[in-house]
Amino acid sequence: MNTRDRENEERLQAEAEAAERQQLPPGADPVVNEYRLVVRALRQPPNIAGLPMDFAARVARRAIYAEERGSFEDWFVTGLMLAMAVGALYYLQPVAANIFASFNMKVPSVPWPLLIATALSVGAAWAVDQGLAHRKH
Amino acid sequence: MTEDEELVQAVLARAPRAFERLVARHQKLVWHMVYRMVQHPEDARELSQEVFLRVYERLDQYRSESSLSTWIGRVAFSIAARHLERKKLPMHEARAEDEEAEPAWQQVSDGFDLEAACADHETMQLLQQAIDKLPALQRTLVTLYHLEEMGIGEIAEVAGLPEGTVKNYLFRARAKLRAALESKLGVAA
Repeated sequence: MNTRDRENEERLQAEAEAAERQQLPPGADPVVNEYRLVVRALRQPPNIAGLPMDFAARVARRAIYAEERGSFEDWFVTGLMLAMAVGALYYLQPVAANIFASFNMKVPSVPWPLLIATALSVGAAWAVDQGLAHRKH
Repeated sequence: MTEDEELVQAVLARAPRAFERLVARHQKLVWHMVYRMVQHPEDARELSQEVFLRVYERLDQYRSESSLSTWIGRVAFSIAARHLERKKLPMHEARAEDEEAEPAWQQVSDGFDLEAACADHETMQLLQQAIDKLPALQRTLVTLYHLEEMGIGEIAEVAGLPEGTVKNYLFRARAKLRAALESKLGVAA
């Protein structure tokens, strides 16, 4: 490719673009005028029905719904994990006690009512906090 | 603080209808870009929606280093590019056409009846068809430059390409369109 030809062509394109921006009448150079047609066509939006009128509202609703559903799922999974952990502790305590007994170690007895009450209080405080944060938004 | 930055802050603070305003402000850019890339109206509408859902999820990562439209453009570009990749559609033109063939601007002659062409609505349609036939990447770059009036630097950022490459693609696309214009109008090359 000849560099000079390429530079000349680039100059013609730039002239066409400038002339088109300034809305000048067609000039004497036919190549520039051809490029002006090209530039004019490129400045036209695609000739097809675009996005629906309510696109923005619809997408916004979907985004907020996805976020809310996501935060509910997070909350649900956290609760489930917590319940499983407490359940596992409850069922494994006698087994652990036997294992520790075989090592001549004494496992402290778990104060279940106090533990459950604490877990419920922490859970309730967290839920209230989440609710307040959500209302602020 | 610019209007876009204020809008971003409002969306992050979950202000009512803030995100809707953000979408309305940038949906034209996303639609033009995505449609030009995938050229399938239904897919383009779906992908435009996906772009804004991604923007909503990741808006806290926006750092005002570039304009919001550039940032959203980058999201749109990557989503549309991945769509083309999944559908095994090419982003670039074939290498042979790129390097071996005679450059498009050398295939055209210098004159034709411009006045008639200007007056002719068909000419614009012919050019639109020629634009549709450009490789996806070139179509997108010329759309960002001419229709969205983005600067070369911004386009380079959106497409993740060096500025020189963007300029080269723009040059070639315009030359190809001029060649298409002449060949369609039946002017001897």
